[in-house]
Amino acid sequence: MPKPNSLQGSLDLLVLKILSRRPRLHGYAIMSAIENMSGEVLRVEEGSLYPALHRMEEAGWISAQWITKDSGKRARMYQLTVAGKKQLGAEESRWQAMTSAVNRVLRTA
Amino acid sequence: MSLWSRITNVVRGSRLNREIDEELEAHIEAAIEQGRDPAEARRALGSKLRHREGSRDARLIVWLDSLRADAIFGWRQLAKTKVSSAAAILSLALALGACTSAFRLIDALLLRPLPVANPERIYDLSRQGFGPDGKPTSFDGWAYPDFQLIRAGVKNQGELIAVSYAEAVDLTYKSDQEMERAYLQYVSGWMFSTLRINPALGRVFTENDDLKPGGHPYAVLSHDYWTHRFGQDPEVIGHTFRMGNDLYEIVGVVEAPFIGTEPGTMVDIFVPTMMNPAVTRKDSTWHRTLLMLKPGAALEPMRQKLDATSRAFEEERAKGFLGMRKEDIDHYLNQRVLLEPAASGVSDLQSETRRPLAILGVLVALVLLIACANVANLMTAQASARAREMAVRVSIGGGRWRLAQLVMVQSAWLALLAAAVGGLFAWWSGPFAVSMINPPDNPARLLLPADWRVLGFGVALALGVTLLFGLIPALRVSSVNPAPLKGARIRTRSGA
Repeated sequence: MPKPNSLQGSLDLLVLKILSRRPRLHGYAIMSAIENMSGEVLRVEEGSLYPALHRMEEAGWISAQWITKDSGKRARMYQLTVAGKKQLGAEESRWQAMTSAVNRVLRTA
Repeated sequence: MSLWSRITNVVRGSRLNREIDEELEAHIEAAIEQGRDPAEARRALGSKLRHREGSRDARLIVWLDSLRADAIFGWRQLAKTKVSSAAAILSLALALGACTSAFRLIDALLLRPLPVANPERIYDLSRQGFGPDGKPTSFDGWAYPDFQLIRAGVKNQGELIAVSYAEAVDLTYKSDQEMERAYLQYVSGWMFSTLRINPALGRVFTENDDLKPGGHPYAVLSHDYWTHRFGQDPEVIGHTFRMGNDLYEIVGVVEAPFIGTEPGTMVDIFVPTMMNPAVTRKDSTWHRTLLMLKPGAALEPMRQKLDATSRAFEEERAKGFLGMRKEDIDHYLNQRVLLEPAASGVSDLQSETRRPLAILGVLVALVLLIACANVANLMTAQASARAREMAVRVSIGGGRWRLAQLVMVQSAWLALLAAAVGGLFAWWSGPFAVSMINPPDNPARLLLPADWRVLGFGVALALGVTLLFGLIPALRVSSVNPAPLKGARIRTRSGA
């Protein structure tokens, strides 16, 4: 269940964005990428990452594939689908609309 | 694609769990490679079970998964009480089978629409009046000259088709020593185009095959007859047979399902009405008249018009009734034309068996109800024996709907198995019942297709039956109280 101050809501957007820049990442890499690129400000709740990934996979926004690593262990790599690109666009503009609305309130109030 | 993967994930639930676990394991490994403490990484990820729940729900259809689990559990419950389950299934199967075969019969004879275009717009013309004794009478036979008049009168609103009462005739393809019987029907040449019946081979009749009395010695075979008499030989076109003094030439075969307009009689050979010796006689009523109403045409004005034309014809004819009393003639003339829906065709067998079949239907429905009551009793008894199990389930958080579903699924198993056995029974007994209907010299021949109608009926029946005997035990179970559990003791590992 979503906890306060978790990235719930924007997590989808971040995952889609990361995957649009760097195709074929596994869950841990997605998480690290979000943390690194945000300058360690955003922390992904590890417990909610995989349910979110699986949900997005079922929604058809991302697809997953098992690959075998050099160590012989398997890893599940995710990449963006065409539907995911569309969804990313929608989420991005939603996010822009929301932040600009919040900014307006901060400026005027 | 996504829905499909969610459905398939239901049947490979354990593999799904393994995959989720493997992915989480890979995550922790990656974390350790980054130099994180293994215990801390595991803690951060959280409980495996919680992940499984969250991810599973996303990756499969939850209700389908619970249904699968209930189906397996219900099956085990049935297998536990083999004897009583078998008894329940057998008694249900007999009742379901009887119902299904009764339906097959009633459907084939009374309900199933003719395999033609727009059967819902077909009506049978009859005349209703009062006999000399004052009793109401009704007869659907017509004389051909009368038919020609009334057909011309309503040409704009509908098409009338003459079809003779199908009869068994003697004919021969070779010499007179090799006579054989076949069912023959005289039909209007334009019947085929009006009902949109196409040839499977050769051609069917048109209006031009039905113009001059005695002038069109052609025949069209039914697909069934072509199959069992000629082995579907395509060379049959051009063959001739002799019936009475006339030599007929076979010009075509109609498409498979059409076997005439009389349920109970499968017509072998169609010939044009003009070949009937009585076609010019005003006093011989030898054929039925079917009406194909044009789209948008109203029925009652049509009926009145038919009534008027038919009456004018009979009045003209009555002038020649010498030596009859005036009131008898009036009785005769005061008949009303009736239009009765004939979407499923019209035959004497239909009118003769309608009542008996209705009674049969009620009887088998009662048998089914009795069987349901028995099985419901059995289920209720079993359910109360499981009261404690159910109370435990409620106590540990089983939802009431889930419990009801558990019991309903078990009932569905019973109904399903019974329907399968009953279906076999119906499949065997249907044709057997038909062979008993008529005297042996003129057996009823009825198409008894076991198609989606029968299957649909069987499935609907099984579902209905499940509700009938499963609902009450299910509701009972779902109202079980979690506490107090009579005689249940909680034991702890240390306690004594």
